Amino acid sequence: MLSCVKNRKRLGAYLDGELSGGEKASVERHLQRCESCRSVLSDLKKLEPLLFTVEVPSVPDNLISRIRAVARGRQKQRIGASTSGWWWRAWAAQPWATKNATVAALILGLAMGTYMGLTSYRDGDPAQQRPTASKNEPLYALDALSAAPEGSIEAATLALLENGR
Amino acid sequence: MASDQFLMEATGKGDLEAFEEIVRRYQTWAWRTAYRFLGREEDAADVVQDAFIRLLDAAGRYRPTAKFKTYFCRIITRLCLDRVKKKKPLYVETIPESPDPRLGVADVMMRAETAAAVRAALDRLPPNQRIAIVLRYYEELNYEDIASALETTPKAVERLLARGRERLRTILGARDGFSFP
Repeated sequence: MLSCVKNRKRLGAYLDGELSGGEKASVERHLQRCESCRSVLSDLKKLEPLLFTVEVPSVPDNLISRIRAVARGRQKQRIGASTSGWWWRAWAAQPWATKNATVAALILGLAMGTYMGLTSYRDGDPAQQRPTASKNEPLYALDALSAAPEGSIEAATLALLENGR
Repeated sequence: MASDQFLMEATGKGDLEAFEEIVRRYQTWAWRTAYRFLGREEDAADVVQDAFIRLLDAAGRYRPTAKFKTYFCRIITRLCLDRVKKKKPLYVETIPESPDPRLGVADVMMRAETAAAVRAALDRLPPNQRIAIVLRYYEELNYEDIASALETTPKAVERLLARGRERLRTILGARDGFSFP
């Protein structure tokens, strides 16, 4: 026999017609014998008319026009996005364009780095420059790109270590 | 009459008239569901607008794996639950717009008082229980459809409804012949 605790958990589903044939029969057998559960079922049945005392106002007049306005705005944005800059997108979509742009960016980066290294080397302390300047010197200016270029903290540290030995 | 699926597919291809037809078909249902859950016109209007715009945005990806109404119900449910997470809903006394002329003033006042009490009781339910009650009683969805809207199982819906009903009985107290065991 179904206990009251188990039965009451099923009363809602019983009212909603969501129990299987066997479950429904079991609940009905219990209800025939149990006044307390019948009282609970009666209370549950009263809930529905109570819930329907809550009225719903009409759909606001301007709600639909608001939705329509947002929808039209969205459509305009989509049309605008799909047509503007078409020539740029068409070019960028080509595979060779992406490769060439990457190579060009790398070359430009290297060139800028070399230039910056050269200018920072030439602008350094004159006392640090080699006493014998020769026409081959600019080649060695690439020392600016090494791990411990002259005048850097790394070079000073290395010098200290050397002197310390 | 074009099916909901056809209208959604047309909307996905940019047909605004198809979208407006969907709005015409479901505006009242969406409004009712949102209002019954939230209890405030302003909040319900925002949710309904957001729900239709989400439909519009998703139309291009829409695949009819479930009934359209179930799909839309899921959107509305999510938006309603998100709304209450952001703020506590205030309950508003609901006065019937057109009282039954057969009822006397006293009856109208009592009905208004009852409606206010029920609205307050609904607002005190945890959001998941409240939405389950709204979808079951007012929209007459079965447990499977409610489960789909809430992205849970029918068994979980049964439990939500059982707890929601019990809570409503307790909150509403001894009104209209309610009795407690």
